[in-house]
Amino acid sequence: MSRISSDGLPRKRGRLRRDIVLVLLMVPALVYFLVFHYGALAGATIAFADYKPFLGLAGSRWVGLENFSQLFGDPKFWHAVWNTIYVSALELTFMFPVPLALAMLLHSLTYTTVKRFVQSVVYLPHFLSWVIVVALFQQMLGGAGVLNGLLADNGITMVQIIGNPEMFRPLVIAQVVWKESGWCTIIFLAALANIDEQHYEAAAMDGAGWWRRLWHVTLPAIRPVLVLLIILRLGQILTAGFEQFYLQRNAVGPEVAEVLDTFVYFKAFEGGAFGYAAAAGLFKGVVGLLLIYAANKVAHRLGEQGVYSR
Amino acid sequence: MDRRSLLKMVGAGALATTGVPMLSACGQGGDGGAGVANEGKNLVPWPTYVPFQGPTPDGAPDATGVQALYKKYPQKLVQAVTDKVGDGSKIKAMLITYGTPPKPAADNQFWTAINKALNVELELVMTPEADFVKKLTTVMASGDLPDIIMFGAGYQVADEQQFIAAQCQDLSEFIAGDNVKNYPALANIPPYSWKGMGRISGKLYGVPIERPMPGQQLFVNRTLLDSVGAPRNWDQDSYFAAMKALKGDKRWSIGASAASVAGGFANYHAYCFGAPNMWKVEGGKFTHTFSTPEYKQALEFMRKMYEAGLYYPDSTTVSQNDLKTHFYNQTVASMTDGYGAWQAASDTVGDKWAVDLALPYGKSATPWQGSGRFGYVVFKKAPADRIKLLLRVLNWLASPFGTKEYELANYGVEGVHFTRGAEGAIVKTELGKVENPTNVPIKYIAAAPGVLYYPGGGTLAQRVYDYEKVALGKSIADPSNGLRSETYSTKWQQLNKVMGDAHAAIVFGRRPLSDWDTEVKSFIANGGDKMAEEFAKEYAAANS
Amino acid sequence: MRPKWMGEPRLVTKIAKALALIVVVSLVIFPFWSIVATSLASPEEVIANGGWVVWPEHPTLRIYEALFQEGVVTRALWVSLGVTVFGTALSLACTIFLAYALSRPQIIGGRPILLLVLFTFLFPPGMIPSYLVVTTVGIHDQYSALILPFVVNVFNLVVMRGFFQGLPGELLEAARMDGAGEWRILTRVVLPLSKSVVAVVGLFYGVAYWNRWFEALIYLNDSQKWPIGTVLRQYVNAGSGGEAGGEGGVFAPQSMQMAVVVIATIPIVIVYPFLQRYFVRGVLTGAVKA
Repeated sequence: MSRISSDGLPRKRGRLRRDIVLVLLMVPALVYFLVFHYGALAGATIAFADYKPFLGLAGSRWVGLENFSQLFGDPKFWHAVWNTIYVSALELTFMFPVPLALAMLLHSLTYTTVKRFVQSVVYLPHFLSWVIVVALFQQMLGGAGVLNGLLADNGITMVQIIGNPEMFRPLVIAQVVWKESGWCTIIFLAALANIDEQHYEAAAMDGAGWWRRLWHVTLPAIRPVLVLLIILRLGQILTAGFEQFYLQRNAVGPEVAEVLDTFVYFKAFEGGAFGYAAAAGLFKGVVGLLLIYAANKVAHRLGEQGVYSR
Repeated sequence: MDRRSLLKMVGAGALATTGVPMLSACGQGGDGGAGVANEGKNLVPWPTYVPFQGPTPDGAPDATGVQALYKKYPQKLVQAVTDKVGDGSKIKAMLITYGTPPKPAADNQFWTAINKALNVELELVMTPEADFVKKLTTVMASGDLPDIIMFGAGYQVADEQQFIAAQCQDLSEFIAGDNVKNYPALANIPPYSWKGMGRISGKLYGVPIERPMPGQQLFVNRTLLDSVGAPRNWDQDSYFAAMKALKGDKRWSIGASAASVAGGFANYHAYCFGAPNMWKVEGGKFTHTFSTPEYKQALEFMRKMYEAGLYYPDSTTVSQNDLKTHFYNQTVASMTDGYGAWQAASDTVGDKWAVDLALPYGKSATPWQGSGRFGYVVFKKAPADRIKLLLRVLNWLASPFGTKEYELANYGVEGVHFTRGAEGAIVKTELGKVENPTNVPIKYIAAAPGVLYYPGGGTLAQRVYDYEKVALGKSIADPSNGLRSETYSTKWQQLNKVMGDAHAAIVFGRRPLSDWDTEVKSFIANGGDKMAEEFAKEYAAANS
Repeated sequence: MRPKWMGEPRLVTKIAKALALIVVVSLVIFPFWSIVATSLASPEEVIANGGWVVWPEHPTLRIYEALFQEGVVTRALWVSLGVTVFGTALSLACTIFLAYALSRPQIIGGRPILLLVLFTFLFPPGMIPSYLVVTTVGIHDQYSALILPFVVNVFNLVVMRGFFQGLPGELLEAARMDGAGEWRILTRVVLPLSKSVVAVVGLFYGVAYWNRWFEALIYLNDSQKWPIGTVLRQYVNAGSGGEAGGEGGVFAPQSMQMAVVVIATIPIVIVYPFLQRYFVRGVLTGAVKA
């Protein structure tokens, strides 16, 4: 064996001996991935079958690529894809700057008590389920809600926010911003906390103002985390919160509110087209894969680590 | 990372997916899914109807579906079941729930009492309504079935009948024809309820959970209507005038909810205009109600009311629960809801104002009957003795009004869950409001056919009786009820979703009325016509 | 304390900041207040107010008493607590181990493993396949079904790995030179430097375990084993849905639903302030001179 050095086997063995502790450390997590993800991933093959849950995979009819050709020929599918991308793009636009700004504001506070209080408060909405968030928004902004009540009392015409297709996307973003901004600050705050105070000190001594300290110290320090988050979010670009849309879809109709996840849900659980739904799931994954690949490449070009190394 | 290693990874992933035969182990093979139709099959007879001779009602039931009216709770109860029911074994039942989570059987006096009476150990797998279909689907996929499974509750699960035919117990030899007489309470379930459940491949697979004939209702605030002089027996113009008169500063005449705008709410208006109940049969041919001119007129009218600003402004998003709150506090003056909702309404409103069921407007109105069932239960395949035991459990739980079993199954233990008020009326205790068949949902295993008795309901039961007397005479059934159509079972939910979206868009002014015709055309082309054909064949087979 | 380098901000800045904070906090507090207020109001008051109460006339803790006496919610809280504590500990251990191993340059098989893991992030298994795996493994109807299928989260893993990679290599090299093994380096050098990321990832796991409800519904038939999230879901949904209208019965009033929301939220919310102190420490300060 040791003679077949071109295979690099002896070298590998040496590495294994060197890394044995690290390899053992990996085992529990890898077993988990193998069993609960790769074990279940066998289910992805139903994308190539006319899968009937009660018949199982063996009892279902194999249809090859039929699910995919149906999917790609369905204008409603493309419509849902478009809606999802639209919303995801809006979320990308708002859900990084807002929490980041909030985190910086919090980070700049000098009174620890105030800081902790505000932090704890803004993180609360993350724990509410969508059913309640939607109900709260309706209570505030609905046609019979607080805002319109105030407007009516002052003789101003009603503004239709809820149930108005044109307002739907801003509404959805407002809901996400309200619910998740505080939660998303956590990771930024942790990153900000890790910045060496001495950098600020040095910058300040060089006469750098607030703006230049932000640009030259703060942002470079949290850039790796930011890049990581953006890349991972891009991988999920075809995912827009199922429940949020499912709950509000009736109000504005599928034209603006049908996202890929609701589309797939209706196909699978109301239409019994599980194979078709799985095909859509695979499509989603492939798109995510391509985007992560591309985004990672861009990150490398910009001198960032990205999610995985070059 | 370069492209090659990325592709390698994808390949590895794909390999890993095919390498594990996890799913195939669970398949049962067998019937590929076809063959649930009744056409061309030997049809077992419906269970013989032997009505229970109970206490004399204050208002007699009749053949049109009017329920027996009891103004007082019967003084003398009879014991319906004298034989032993269970053998101490465990019975696992999968049910829907609309209630809040109950205490476990051991700490729950209601549950304990039921277990004791049945001499079984009921294990209930309770799934909240919102997630019912998902849970059902996973259980169907696992092949590991509980003894009793409930279907229905307004859902048609994908391949429901195919699954039942392949994996559940054929009950024909136990309950078809006169055999049902072994289970007197099941024989007391009226024929329209069995027919609403229907046969699969000519056989009986389940036992229905009965619901009375009236379908979705328009609930109105009679006190407010009286204040604007609206007649009880109204027509389209006086209905519209009343709705206009009721619209106030912070009050709206009409409440619709996300759940009802294409459902019960549209149904009410459709039947007021005389549209057929889902399908019309003419010369053996089926036509869907969507394609009738009456239905379109109803939509136009609903839209007209929207343009007049009569709807509660958040009608499309408000949940049925919140809408009820607005109805109770008189923010909205009318709403559609399930027939049985009158009890809860009466409970909440008390005598602050009068809840009432609206009669249909329009001379040619054809009130739609419901399907006669809330749902039905099926059994996992088992030896005959076990099946008989399960049927005895159902029989006990379905014991009719006026029996001791009914009292226990519906109201719990006297002195614990209820006490007796004036004239023997049932008065729920605080514990009875928590431990009851809503929170321990045994009423979805089996239940007695409904009667009009409501503890403390006062005059409302009488009003409901009067409503039934007037409305049910003109009411029509859905001719497809209980019939099988392959296309219906696979396509209906999705097509109905599209049509539901169209309802909301047209009624709330987002799309022109003329779009309706286009939608109907595509409904017919995408499966509506095939359903009609299949139903017509089934209809002919069932009525030959 | 304000660090010296920061200098005294201008008054305008101070006011702007204060205003921004007030707006942000009130946008959150007001709706939350109405949740708490509704839970304290009587059912009649809730109905009269159309579902939500802003200022209860006769605040009462009756509903809370009833809920805790009933015992279902209490039990679910204990289940959630157990699942969250054990789950978070297990998750943190597995994640730290794998993230640390994958953060070492040149580790054997490092890249393929990382990519295999990332792959699962993009292709999550469907509901039915996951259920079948859980039943095959044999943990359905057991508390472990609420933990084992969720042990490692790829997002958390990647975040942690990124953090480990950012640690100054010289420190680890120095330890290695001193003859420390990987285990020793991880526990004595890396982890003490990583308190903030461990706190964050631990919080992410803890909150996820606490909030998870759907899988309990699918994997556990016995509702006695349901965590608070699932029980909350049932309370919030009780009596809703299209068919429910006709089902009569006594449903949970809005005030009870909101009380359960409050009960389910408080325990996890109070964890956060305790973790926050790990965020404010500049953990690397002084450890390395850049």
